[in-house]
Amino acid sequence: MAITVTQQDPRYQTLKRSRNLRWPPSDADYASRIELCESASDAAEALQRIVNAGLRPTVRSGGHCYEDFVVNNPGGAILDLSLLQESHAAEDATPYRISAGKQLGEVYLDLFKRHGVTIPAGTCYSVGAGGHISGGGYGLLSRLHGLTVDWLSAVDILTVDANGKVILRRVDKQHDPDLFRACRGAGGGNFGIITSFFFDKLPQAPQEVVHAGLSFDWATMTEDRFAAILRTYGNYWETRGKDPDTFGLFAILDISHASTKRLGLSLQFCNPDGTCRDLSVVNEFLSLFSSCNPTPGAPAPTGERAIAHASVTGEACAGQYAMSRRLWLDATIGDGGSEGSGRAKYKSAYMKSKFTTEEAKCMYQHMTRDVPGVDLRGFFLAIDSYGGATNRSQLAEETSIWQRSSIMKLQFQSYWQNADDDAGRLKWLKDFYSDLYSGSKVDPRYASTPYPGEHYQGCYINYPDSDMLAHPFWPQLYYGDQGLYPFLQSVKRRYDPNNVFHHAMSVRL
Amino acid sequence: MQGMGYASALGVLSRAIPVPDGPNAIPLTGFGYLASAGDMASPADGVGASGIHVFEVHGDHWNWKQSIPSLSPASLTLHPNQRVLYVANEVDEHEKLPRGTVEAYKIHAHDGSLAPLNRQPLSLSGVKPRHVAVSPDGKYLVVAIHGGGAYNVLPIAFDGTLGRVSQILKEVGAGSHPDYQASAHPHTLMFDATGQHLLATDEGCDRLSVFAFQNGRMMRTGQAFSQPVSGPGQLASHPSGELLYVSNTFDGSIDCYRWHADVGRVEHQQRVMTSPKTAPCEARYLAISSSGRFLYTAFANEGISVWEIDPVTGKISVIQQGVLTNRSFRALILSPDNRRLFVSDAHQHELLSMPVHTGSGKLGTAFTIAATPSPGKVVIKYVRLQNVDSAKMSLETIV
Repeated sequence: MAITVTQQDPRYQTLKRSRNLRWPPSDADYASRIELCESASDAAEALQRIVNAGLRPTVRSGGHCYEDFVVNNPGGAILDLSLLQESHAAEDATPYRISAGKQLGEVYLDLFKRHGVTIPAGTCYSVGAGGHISGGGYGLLSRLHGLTVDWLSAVDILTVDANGKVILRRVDKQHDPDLFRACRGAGGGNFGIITSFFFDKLPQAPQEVVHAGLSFDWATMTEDRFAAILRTYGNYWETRGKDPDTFGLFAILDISHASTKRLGLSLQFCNPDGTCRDLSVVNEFLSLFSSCNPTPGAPAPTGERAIAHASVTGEACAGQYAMSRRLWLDATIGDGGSEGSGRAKYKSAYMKSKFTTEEAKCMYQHMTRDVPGVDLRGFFLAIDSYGGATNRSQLAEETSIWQRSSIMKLQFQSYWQNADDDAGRLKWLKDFYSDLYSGSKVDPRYASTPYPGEHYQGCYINYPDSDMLAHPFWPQLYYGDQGLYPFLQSVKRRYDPNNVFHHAMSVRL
Repeated sequence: MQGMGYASALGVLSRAIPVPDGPNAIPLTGFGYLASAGDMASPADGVGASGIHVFEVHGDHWNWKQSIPSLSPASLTLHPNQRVLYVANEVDEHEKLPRGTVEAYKIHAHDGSLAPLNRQPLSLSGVKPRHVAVSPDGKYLVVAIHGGGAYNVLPIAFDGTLGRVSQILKEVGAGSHPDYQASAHPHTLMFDATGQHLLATDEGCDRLSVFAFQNGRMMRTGQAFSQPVSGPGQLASHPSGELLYVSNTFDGSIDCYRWHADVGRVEHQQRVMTSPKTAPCEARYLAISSSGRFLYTAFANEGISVWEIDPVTGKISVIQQGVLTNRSFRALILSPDNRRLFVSDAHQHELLSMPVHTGSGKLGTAFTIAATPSPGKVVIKYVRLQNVDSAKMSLETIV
């Protein structure tokens, strides 16, 4: 039986929350209980109870959802899979099995120690496999080995049939292949509850990797230099970055506001054979930036770890002494590998070609303009290298990740602590994004979005952005306009006809 | 009248049938509320296309007084105090999220006019609500959400305004029809006289559901299944509170159930097949006389039928049928004294009144009493004024 945590339970106040403290929007939106499931049969039993009671189920593994899709569930029930233990059934021939509740850090350790393999997944170690993999799952090894869903062979998923009965399905290319394809990248909370991921084969983990970085001072920045950095970076991924010997190179260019004092570029590299015997590719890459006056030898801080003046995370307490208040669980282990709880907003874009002069100009303007009352430190535009093995085009038909021609993947991230700052932060990011995606490369019908076309491939469903709901074509932003979304709707109608699983951006019936 | 702007059509009508003044004037007998979902193909109609229209009723004269815009009003219900009107907006989006809404309007006692109080969004995925009902104690509004397959409960404040949704009950279930019964589709609901039970039809899974209702929370306690692919739709209660009539959307049949309030159980009594239908659309509209003797049903272009209700068994047998074919009926309601049947016709855009013969319950010749806006769902609610002495005016509702 699942462990039921109701409102009277002391654990409720912690477990009802998301890591992103903006969610849910109001106190009345909290779920009425959390069901901690230790096994797939626990989850099935809990789900059946929830459906029978007429409650809405939402699912959580790591709790890192960028939007309120899990915790904005008024009166409903959250099925928490973080305690899920997979049982190794004797008849199960599949070599690699990842429980949906496992965090990426544990997965990497487990797969490496047992088998010397890995999944080409993300860098935040406390992210849960359930949401991460079902939405695609990419990271530093993706140029070399593709997306995690590219390797997926089968999935165990609990669905609710038309009559309200919970069914556990093992789906793969031979069994419920349409549902299997949907589980390979359409995103969580749509079709059912995934309890396990199965892989027949996984890539070998590299032996060793090189980390390097550059930083670029804002104090001496000019618009030309800024544009040169972007141009050099984008041009590399469009040209040299398409050669297989560079696939072991993955870089992140962090564009931040002038108030953060510097921009950062960080990278990980190995040769395709998983060694670091030949570093010529890295050296070649880094040398391209020499004309941009980088500060040598200073690996730039990446993303959220570079929050300049956030000496104290957590909610500031009023009083004589500077103190911050955090949930105990969060204070104890919340920070492992990635950001602890705070308030955040995210956006994304896929790019098929290098930055245009127009885009560079726009970015520079927003990075150098101060906005009264809005602290723009804590904002990062992480421009990830992409392409390589992620662009095997046949995988667009096998999976639900259709973006198979991009060379860069952008994640806009804004982090802050105080609810009072919400409005200013959200507006700034919305304005910047709209401005950036209203240039001459964007069809005016889709202005202010990176709508699929010549230059962009829309947005990433695992970086969901509810601002996109303002556009009736938001499904096409995430799923393209070549038939994937109607396919996902057909899967929805077939496997969740009552729309038991839904959130603000779920596939509509 | 087709082709004219709505407001001007009504203007013409009220001039055409003036209410006489002077000592022979027909006193005000009540206010009529007519919701029109409008013709979605021509939203340029403006206010008249989709909204709630207020009429002053003097006997058979319905004089249009006011129109208030409202998006796709599919259901109207009155608060027991007659001072507030609630509306279900059969929409599939509100502020960019997939959900319908409900609205509250204050009714001014002296002239029946409406003023908006507030609007509340329904639960996420609660698209296309179809029906609303107020608990007999006036404290809760319950919504049958057809599209999204759920029920919502909303608290009602002392001033009649709606609080945010306080309970979401998600329905699951399906029937055999691949297009219309792929999932649950709650259609109509009603409280029993005690307010301790809710009864609801579900067209998607051929089900009449029974819910216990206590302290603002509903909980399923029982159900009865109708014939496969019948599609339970409209629901009407016998004045005795012991019988229920359900008209079915897909096969046009009518089911009669005995309602055992003490144990909260429904017991099927009779199934009547009416004329076969060519395509499923709306279930037959139902109205029962306050004497409990007669049931009136109206459907689309098949006309109106009158049924006699057996006083012992509750079973119905037809006594008059095919009245006014070649119309397209959208709603019907009996006047409080049961001497008239008001019917809305979308085909000719008008409200009709038909005299009811007291002894036999049969219907006489219909005549037009008002023009109504472009076709769509029409619901009529009627608030009766008692005691013509203005010093002791009180209001009574006919539901």
